[in-house]
Amino acid sequence: MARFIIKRLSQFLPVIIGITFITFMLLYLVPGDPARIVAGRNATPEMLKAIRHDLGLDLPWYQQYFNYLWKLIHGDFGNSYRFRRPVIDILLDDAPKTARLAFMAIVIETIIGILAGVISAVKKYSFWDTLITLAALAGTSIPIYWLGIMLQYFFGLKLGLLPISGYGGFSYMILPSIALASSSTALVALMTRSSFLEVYQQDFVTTARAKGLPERRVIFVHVLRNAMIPVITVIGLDLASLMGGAILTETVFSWPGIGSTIFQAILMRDVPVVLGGTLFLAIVFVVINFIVDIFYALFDPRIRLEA
Amino acid sequence: MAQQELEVIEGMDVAEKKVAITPTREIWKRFRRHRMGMAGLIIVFLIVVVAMLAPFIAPYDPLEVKFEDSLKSPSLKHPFGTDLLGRDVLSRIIYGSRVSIQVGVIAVAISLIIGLILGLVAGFFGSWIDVIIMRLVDITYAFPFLLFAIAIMTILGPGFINVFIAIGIINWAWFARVVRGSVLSAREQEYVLAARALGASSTRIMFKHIMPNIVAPVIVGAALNSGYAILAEAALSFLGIGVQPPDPSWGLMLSDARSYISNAPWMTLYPGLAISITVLGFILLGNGIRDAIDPRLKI
Repeated sequence: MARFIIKRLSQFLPVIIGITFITFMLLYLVPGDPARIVAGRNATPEMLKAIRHDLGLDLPWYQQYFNYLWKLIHGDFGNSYRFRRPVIDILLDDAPKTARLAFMAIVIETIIGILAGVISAVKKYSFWDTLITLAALAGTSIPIYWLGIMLQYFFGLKLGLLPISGYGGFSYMILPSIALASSSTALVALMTRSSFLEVYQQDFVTTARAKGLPERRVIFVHVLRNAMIPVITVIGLDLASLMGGAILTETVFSWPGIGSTIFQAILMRDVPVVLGGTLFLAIVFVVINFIVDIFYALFDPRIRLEA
Repeated sequence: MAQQELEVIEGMDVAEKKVAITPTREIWKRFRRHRMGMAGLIIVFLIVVVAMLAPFIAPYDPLEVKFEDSLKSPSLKHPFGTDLLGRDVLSRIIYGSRVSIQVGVIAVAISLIIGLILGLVAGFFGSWIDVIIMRLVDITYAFPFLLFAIAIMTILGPGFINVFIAIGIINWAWFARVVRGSVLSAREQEYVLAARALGASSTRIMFKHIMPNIVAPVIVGAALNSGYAILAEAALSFLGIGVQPPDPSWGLMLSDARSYISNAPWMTLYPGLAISITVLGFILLGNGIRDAIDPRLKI
């Protein structure tokens, strides 16, 4: 197990360094002089020079990168041009709100996605299978923000059942989390179906049935448990698309999370927030995947041995 | 069983008529029977035709502003209604297909070329080159796709060409990974060993024996990726950092429509349907080709 963790760490660290390097290069290449933005319009050339020196902008790029990395290690993601406060504080304020939506979306995609996939696989080639497969393919094709706006229109404006937008309790979360979960749910359903069908043909399933176990037990205990491994991977990887999707859904539903903060920052050209937010979400994603990997290896010895 | 026998007999019949049963023909035969795949092919074909013939099909100029026609609901004159500036929504959707198809083709071509080269190099040469390229792939994958595209667009600035570049330089990782995987598995095959034993050169093995194994996943991947690239362009344009006004892009139309959802829902409904149907077409097409070539292909 220790060997497995070391091996994974040796893949994990270069990726983290690579991500920081890319966001740094993007920050470095962005048009416009950060010193001017900090100093304001009326700054004299001497003031600009002083500020540049203070910010370390007069150093060569690699020294600037090491400074950037050093600051990141200490939790310093830079300062927002617009709010004049540390980017990390803004992100940490927003993170729980985005996490609430993401959590709801994961619950929805897990329950509905797996259920739909199992029905589809068990009733292979039936009317329900075709319907679910088509719906799932459509689900991966529909832009989630469009779905969000249509949900607002029908359930908010026309039927008046649910709040259209804003931050609040459970009722405020329903529409945005459905929109956010839509394409992921579709993917989970498709993945469950194919994985289930694959396991379904294996010998131990026939054995279970030959032992005289009821079909329900065969499906839910023997097949499903083994079919879940790739599905869980998909759900884990899907966090990335949930985080990307959060920008769209939070914007559409005026949900004050990291996504809408990044969107506002794009509009205001608040580059440190855009890149800091991107970096933050990428790191969260990589760390979660790392943890998921370790858990996997704990539960499934085959994965441990492969490494 | 009887069905299979019948097919064999039909096959012999074809052979007698001196028509060779090539693998391509076999694949096309299987594809034709794939209902969803055929549906995808028809959708994609129709949209490409619409995009090419836009000036002849569109009933109005997509950029023509007519304030007296502002926010008209769908009617015979304007089947999909008009927007705030009185522009015909149907005509804008027809012209918008040009943006989407170009993204689907050009952005994917960029990523395919980069991914194909790096994937071949990584798979064929292995060792440290492979390690470096695969780490680059991992790093690219570490960013949520849309976020990465947004980050790149903030540097490049909004615009049509920049959308291609942003999508292209993210998506290459997908092709690189798939191509590398195919090269690695093909390298282990007995026929490659046999070719090597017969003294075939590396170049010959590469192009004659390994390349054909890469074609299938790359074609399937290109179709699927076109769908996702179109979705990404629409999202970037919706966020205001993709295609810029007044160019008609479906994502941009949705972004314009947001403020008028209560009094002009058609402005939202139709462009969204256009995106969904187009993307679905590419995905169905990709799945259909995959099933026709090799249903076991994991893409």
